Amino acid sequence: MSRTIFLGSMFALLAACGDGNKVKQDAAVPDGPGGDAGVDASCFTNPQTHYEIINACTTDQAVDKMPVTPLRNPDGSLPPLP
Amino acid sequence: MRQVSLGLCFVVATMGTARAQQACDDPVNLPNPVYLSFGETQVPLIKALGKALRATENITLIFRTAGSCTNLDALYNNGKMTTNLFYIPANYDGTSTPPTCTPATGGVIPDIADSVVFVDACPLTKPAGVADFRAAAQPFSFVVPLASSQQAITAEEAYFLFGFGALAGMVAPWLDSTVAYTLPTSKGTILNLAAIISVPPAKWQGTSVATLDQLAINVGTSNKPDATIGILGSGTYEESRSSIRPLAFKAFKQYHAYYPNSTLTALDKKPVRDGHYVAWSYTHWLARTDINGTIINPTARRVIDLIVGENVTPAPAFDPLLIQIHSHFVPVCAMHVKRDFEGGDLSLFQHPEPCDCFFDSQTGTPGPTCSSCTDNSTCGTGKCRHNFCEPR
Repeated sequence: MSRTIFLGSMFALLAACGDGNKVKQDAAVPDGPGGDAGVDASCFTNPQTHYEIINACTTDQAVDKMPVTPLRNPDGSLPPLP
Repeated sequence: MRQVSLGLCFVVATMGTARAQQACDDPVNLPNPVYLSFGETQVPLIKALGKALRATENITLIFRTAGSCTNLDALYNNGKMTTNLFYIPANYDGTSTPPTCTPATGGVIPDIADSVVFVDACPLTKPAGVADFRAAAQPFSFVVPLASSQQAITAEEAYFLFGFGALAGMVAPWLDSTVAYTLPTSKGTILNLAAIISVPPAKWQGTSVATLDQLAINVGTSNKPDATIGILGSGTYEESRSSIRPLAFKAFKQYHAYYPNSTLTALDKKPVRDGHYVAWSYTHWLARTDINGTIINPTARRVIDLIVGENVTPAPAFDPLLIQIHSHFVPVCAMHVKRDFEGGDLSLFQHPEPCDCFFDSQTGTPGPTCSSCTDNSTCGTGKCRHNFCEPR
């Protein structure tokens, strides 16, 4: 029982990683040119790559935004420029 | 008859006291000149540096502002600056609009050119005999009026807004192309953001404004605050905080949008320094060199060395790093990420002589691990730099 509580607490702590000081404008759905990058509220604690660096844990104020982009392809990718 | 005589005397006297335009090649009033062609975002830096150089070393900076590609073209191809130039006079206050001088007949080739983006971002070929010296980082932003309801923009939104046009792009509330402000393709600001949002500069759609200063005015005074948006570098928009603000930016594949500073109102540029804010580039300063890569003009060499943070002899009577920081840039010693080309992926970076504590002391509050010092003895394994213990 105590181990379950401990594990639950650890998961809660990890889920809170990078949660400090965010301003929610809309619900957060990270996305990218190739489609959704995946709904992932975690952050990287030891970033090494570009992707990890830009999504590293931080106390910087973050703004969450769910953009409305009607011209986007059904698979989430970007159409070519005119 | 006497009144006519007095009138003529007045006219003659006035003509006698009319001030002639200052000549740039006046060795008495403009001693030890260095001619520069640089981007508008560098104006605060050059004003402050010019003041210090004029006061302590009798060097006169004479300059014009132009787009990065225009600056490079002039240096690469010996293009002459023929219109009136600004110059830093004796006893300059460091902030007001400098006076102008007239270059010698036929114009003058710049000794130094600046690009606020990687030089390869311009459709030019750097010739042999010109060297590129990398200096501080500068963030670029999508900016809105203070009254705008918008807080952030994503790379995808910017792609549609500026790649398809405001109306066709269908990115509310930015649906009016007359207040979606862009810049000429010679400007480094658009070159950087073009790389960041994957819209080539020539394909940007909106209302082009000739200068960053005018764009800042247009955005700041717009009567359509929600529909209005523009693009600027920090060297310009941080001088206009009373009327405009940057949007937080979410790059491709990023989870959240971030401001260039840790909060909207901070000055610490922490997200730029740690890689959360990706729309930035290095400033580059270029000059003609000999076959060994040494800048030929010794005065130009000193100016560039001071800008890029090289140790110079004799040491200056002022702190060039302080000037960089207060000109809204991030010196490389405070950066923790780097990139190798315009809009390129970020990678981790450790400067051999970091200056984070000093940078933070000037832009906010030094971190909890920053202790003051006068020499290395109290810094353990670290080093005392600018009166702060830095890790090395």
